[in-house]
Amino acid sequence: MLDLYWNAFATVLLPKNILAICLGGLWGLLAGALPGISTSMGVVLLLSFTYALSPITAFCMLCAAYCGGITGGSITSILFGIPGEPSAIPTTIEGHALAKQGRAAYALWLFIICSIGGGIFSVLIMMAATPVMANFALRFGPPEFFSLVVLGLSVVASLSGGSVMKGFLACFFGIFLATVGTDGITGGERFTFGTEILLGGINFVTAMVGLLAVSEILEEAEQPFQEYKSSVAYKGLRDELPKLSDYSKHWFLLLRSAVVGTVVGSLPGGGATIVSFLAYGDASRSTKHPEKIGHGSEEGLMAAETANNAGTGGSMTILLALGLPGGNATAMLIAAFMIHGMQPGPMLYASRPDIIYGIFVAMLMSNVFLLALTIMSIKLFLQLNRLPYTAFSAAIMILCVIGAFGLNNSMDDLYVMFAFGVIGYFMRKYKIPIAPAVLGLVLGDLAELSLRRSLLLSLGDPLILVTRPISLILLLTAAVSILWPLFKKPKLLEGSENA
Amino acid sequence: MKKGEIVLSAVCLAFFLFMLSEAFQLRGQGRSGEVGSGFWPLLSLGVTTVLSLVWLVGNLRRYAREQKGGPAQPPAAEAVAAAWARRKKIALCSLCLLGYILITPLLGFILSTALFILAFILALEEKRAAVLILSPLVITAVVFVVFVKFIMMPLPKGVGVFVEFSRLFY
Amino acid sequence: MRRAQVAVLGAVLFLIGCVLGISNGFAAAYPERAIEVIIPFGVGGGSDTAARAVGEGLKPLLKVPLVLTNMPGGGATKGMLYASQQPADGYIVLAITPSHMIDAVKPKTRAQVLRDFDPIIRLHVDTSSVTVAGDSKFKTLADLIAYGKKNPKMLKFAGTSPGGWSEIQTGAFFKRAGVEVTFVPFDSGAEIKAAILGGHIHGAVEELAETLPLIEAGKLRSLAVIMEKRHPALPNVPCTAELGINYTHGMMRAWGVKKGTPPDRIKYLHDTVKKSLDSAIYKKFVKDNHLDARPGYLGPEDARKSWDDEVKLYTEILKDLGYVK
Repeated sequence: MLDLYWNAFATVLLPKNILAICLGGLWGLLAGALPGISTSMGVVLLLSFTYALSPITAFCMLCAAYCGGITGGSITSILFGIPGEPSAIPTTIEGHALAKQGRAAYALWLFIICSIGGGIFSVLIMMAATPVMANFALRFGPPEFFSLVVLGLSVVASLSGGSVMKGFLACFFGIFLATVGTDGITGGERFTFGTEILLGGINFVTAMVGLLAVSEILEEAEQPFQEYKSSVAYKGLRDELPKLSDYSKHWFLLLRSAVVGTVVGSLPGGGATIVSFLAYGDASRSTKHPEKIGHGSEEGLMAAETANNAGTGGSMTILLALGLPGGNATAMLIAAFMIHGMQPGPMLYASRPDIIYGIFVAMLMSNVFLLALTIMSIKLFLQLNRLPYTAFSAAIMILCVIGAFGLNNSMDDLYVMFAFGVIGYFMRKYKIPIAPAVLGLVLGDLAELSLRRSLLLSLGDPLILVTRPISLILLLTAAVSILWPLFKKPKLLEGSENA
Repeated sequence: MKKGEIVLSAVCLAFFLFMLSEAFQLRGQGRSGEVGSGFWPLLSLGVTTVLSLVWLVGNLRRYAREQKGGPAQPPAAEAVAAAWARRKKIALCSLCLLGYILITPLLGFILSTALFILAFILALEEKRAAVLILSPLVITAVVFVVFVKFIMMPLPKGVGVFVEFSRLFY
Repeated sequence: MRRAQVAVLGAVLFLIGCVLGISNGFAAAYPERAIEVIIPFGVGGGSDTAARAVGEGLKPLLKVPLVLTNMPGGGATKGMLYASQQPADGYIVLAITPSHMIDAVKPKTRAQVLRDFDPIIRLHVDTSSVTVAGDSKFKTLADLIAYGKKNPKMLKFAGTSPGGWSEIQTGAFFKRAGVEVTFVPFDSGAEIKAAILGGHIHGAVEELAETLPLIEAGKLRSLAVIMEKRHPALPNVPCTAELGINYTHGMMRAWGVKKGTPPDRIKYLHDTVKKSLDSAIYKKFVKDNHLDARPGYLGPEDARKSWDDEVKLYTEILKDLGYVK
């Protein structure tokens, strides 16, 4: 095994492969950071360039693009408040809040180091224990998934800020929104009122762009012109160099997030979506500054970023071990394997260990090189800083529009985005927290479908949720975590005054 | 502000009640064994309806309490004017965005984007001539090059004459 | 005054003339600008990969750029609706799958594939197989059917699209085998395979292109291929025809254009796409995914006939399953 690694390092560190990693990483960062083009689209566009390359060079490029895409999405989330993927929501909430306090550079440093750290951690786990991890991931059936999502939802009270009641209202509103569109179990339509706009349901990302980004621009526009404080008065990255203690004092949280990210990220069907919420919830419960959650909590940001990027290693694990893609981006990697005449899965382990170990090393090196590449591309995005405030707002609005359009290349999504922009504005105005609504929207669908799948499996017996050990443990954790904050601050109905 | 919150909570209650009545029609749809299409909507809408009712009642009680403590000071005329100016600006900005979304399929991406930027920064009370002239041109050009030329996103080209105009570029 | 009015009128007429001139006058040889293929599915799925493989082979043969656009949503109907609303000039091509034929039975949108589209070409037909876990207690199809008949609804089979292709083939197969199963819809093929491997579900009727690597590795087992003859990649697995089950239908993929597109443009598209099917890239794709097990290619007229037949078949199956009365 050691000489396999030795050979893999020797191959990946060839100049042409390093070049491939840098180019792929840069492209991935760009694709992740630009709204309207997802990580998977970035991988697709790159795919046709890799036909001519040797397999290992192609995988260096594609793995770097994949890792870069996941990393790059957070740049836009932090600087402009536009989430590109559902998993970027905690980053958008906390990171952008920090940016608005003028601490964008600090938030970016936290994000860079944590996401690279999470990525490297998961690759190391992947190198050591891919088959074990894959077998563990398979133990997650619909009941386990349901309990996991409930655990993700259980963070709602911590996210609610002043009024827990308004938080729950927002969360269940989000859960309701998730039921709009085609029912994933019966195929019937719900709440579409015969229109074609809602036929595909309310897309998370469209709604998130409206609720988080558009509404914020509208809210800022409310202030009279002369009162604009340029919300983009960022310091340079060099002015807020991070201290080691910023990270080391949270080492246990970061370790937990990395483990959760790697394990949950390997679950096909939504694992990658839910990891950042689980880690964020963990941070919001364990933090010593719960009042900061939702208003620029560095712990929330660090935990979410660590888990999010640790998810890349998790996804690759299940892809390499069983050939199952955890998400769309990894599904495109399967296409890349097939172009080069390989099928990822158990057979590839035996037949082409050089490729498998090459990919491990390429993932590791991608994360290492991404550190420098991310810093470079952040400098590019900070140039937007120079625009006058009004033009900056207009530019962000256009990025929102392109981001919402690019998901399905459909104008319909723009109406949905607009509607959510207005809804988000009123929520902000009347202090209804937006984070729980987004949480409900993203996780509600997963919860409903996995619950109904579980019941189909048990032929209608709800005990299936508690008779399976993993599911039971997760549900108990969720129950504790829902009830705990209610005891901590007994102001279920009051409290909107001091919100 | 209190009145606004009362209205909002009432609107929420009405909306959720309406959706709840829709959700009742979903009952009975589903596969045998599972809870059906209607369960999850009824659950979420039930909770939201109850919570918005609690919210509305809470608002009304607080309003009544404040009224009892003597009629509130009528707000100063300037404050009222400022509030209306804010509302007007928000309405203008939202209208710009809505207008942009509506005209893009007709005029095509390039023209409508340039128009939107101009309208939006005017709505934001920008008065510097250089900003007004340059930003529609520069931002549109940059966005066009990045998203249409580089990423080849199929942004709308418009209809009729405008298609021909858009095809000059992409 | 008058002169100014005349001048304005003249200018307006001139502009109108120019515009008309641009639209009609320069009717250069088709195609003169980019051809766009609408893929009504998201990036990374089977239909997306297939369309992109054809596209890779087609690009060098076209004088104009080829743009592939994903428009997912509404079970492949949103992309179809969009394509049906564009001019019938042969510049917008729709990637068509059985989802559209199933939608034609009871359309979700204003578009209906038989009414609004003309086929260019049928590209290939995929083959499905009845798949269970490698360590499953069901060693043969007979075991499975015997268990299913003894325990109605206890057999749980996974699929992707409720009321769509996946449920239709699962439902039709088991109906014709005389077994009542519980169909459990999942979101993606990956989830289904994970659920089978993890022992959460008994099996699934899935396309071979997606399951073959795991079947070859022994992690999954194919009990029968849904086909008239045995599949060359799985010579030891019986086909439904020899087992006496009257269901051999496979998933076709085709390209079409809006009805009313000039026949010479359809012919041009058909000829060019057909030529691209011989490209090395596409041939490799077909070989890797075992799409050559049964004849796939059909020209426009034959494809139209096969579409009519498919819609008839799906109407019948959906009636059986209770989706249509």
